[in-house]
Amino acid sequence: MGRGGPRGGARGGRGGGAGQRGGAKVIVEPHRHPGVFVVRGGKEDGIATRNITPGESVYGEKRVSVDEVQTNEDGSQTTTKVEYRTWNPFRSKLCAAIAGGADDIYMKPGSRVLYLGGASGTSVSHVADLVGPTGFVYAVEFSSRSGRDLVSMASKRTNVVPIVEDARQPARYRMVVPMVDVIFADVAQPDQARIVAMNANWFLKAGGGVLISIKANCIDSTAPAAEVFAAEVQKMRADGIKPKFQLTLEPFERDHCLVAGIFNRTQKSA
Amino acid sequence: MTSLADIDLDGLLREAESRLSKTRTSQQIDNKPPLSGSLTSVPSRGAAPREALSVRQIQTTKTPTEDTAGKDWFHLPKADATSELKRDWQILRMRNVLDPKQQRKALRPEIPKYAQVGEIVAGPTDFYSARMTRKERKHNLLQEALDSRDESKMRHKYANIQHDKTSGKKGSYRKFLSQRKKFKG
Repeated sequence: MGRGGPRGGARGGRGGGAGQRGGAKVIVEPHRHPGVFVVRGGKEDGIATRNITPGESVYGEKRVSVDEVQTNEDGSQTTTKVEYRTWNPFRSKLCAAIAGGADDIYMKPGSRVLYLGGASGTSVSHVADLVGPTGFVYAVEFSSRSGRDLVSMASKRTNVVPIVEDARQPARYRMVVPMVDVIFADVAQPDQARIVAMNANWFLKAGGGVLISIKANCIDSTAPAAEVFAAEVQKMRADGIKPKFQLTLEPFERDHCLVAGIFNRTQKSA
Repeated sequence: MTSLADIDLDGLLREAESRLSKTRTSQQIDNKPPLSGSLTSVPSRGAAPREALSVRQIQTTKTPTEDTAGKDWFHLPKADATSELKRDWQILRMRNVLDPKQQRKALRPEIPKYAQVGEIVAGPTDFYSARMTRKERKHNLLQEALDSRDESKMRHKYANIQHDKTSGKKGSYRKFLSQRKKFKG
């Protein structure tokens, strides 16, 4: 998975959005995608999500604190602290896709997302921020070691449901997961397409979005990356997922690509 | 059996109707004396006193979508276009000049419609280099830029711009003439 090993860009190197030093002023504005924000200022612009647990960072990422002043009816003013957490594209495939200009991420505040391959929950925490308190994230992770971190992260976020289970057997968590709007998969397994198709059949609504991050080395380390991606897209198509766009995560990850598609149940039966 | 029950029901219903109509007429008499003398006339449904009906008016409330970015961005408020924010945005637009080694996207000239000004909070595990000292902290982006600018570089840049802008104008022509005189003399 490459997680936890190299320390992304959090310190030194090209840390997307993490280049600012504590105390620097920045301007936060909405991103094209719902639930995502752009932090401008410092060395370079970064992507951020609105923190639903203000005052805490999950993996040592930098936060942006904003004082929101509201005028009450009687003229007095109330100050509330709003916080944004910077999202590092070097540590999250989804952020890399957003930074790389993905057309659509299908998720927005209020969505229900099934996250396959949640790992330690760093990306999951940002997705939880993105969908907000009205949405839900069902994070599936097989490894009990990463699952521990995932559970501890979820204990602070009410909209995250951690599932330490094998994504190959969706029947095992069918009682926990309802119909979802989006499936995001970052499982890096040779039978990734099959896993996603199975979960889509179980849980994804008709017309729901599918986002799959494909690591070419994990599928077939001998074939060229482009061929592997094309073969995976073909598999998706056979499983009733209509591919919409594909983009490489190049400056952030090597030989990775993100394929997005729309799931259509009727195509499968036909 | 069923037919008997039907008859009974019909009878009961008729009785009830007559009783009701009696009470209604008596109430009407009590409430307001009829203009005409016919007391026995039973008021039909159509003639029942009607209230003035009207279509319910939807109350116009202040829509929150107008001054926020909407629920898709968690109601990010509209940026108040203070001169401070405008200057900060100008500085942000000129950051490619301030730090040309880093290449960034060009920003639009006008300030964003919805925006907030925030401050980076360093993580507790970050090293000292990841946070500004108290003296380095400033109130806005402009002051930060003024504090951290490269003086000699700016002077050079300014001189270059001046050279380009004033070429072909009065000053440069005079200089050109003075140069010519020098060669003649």
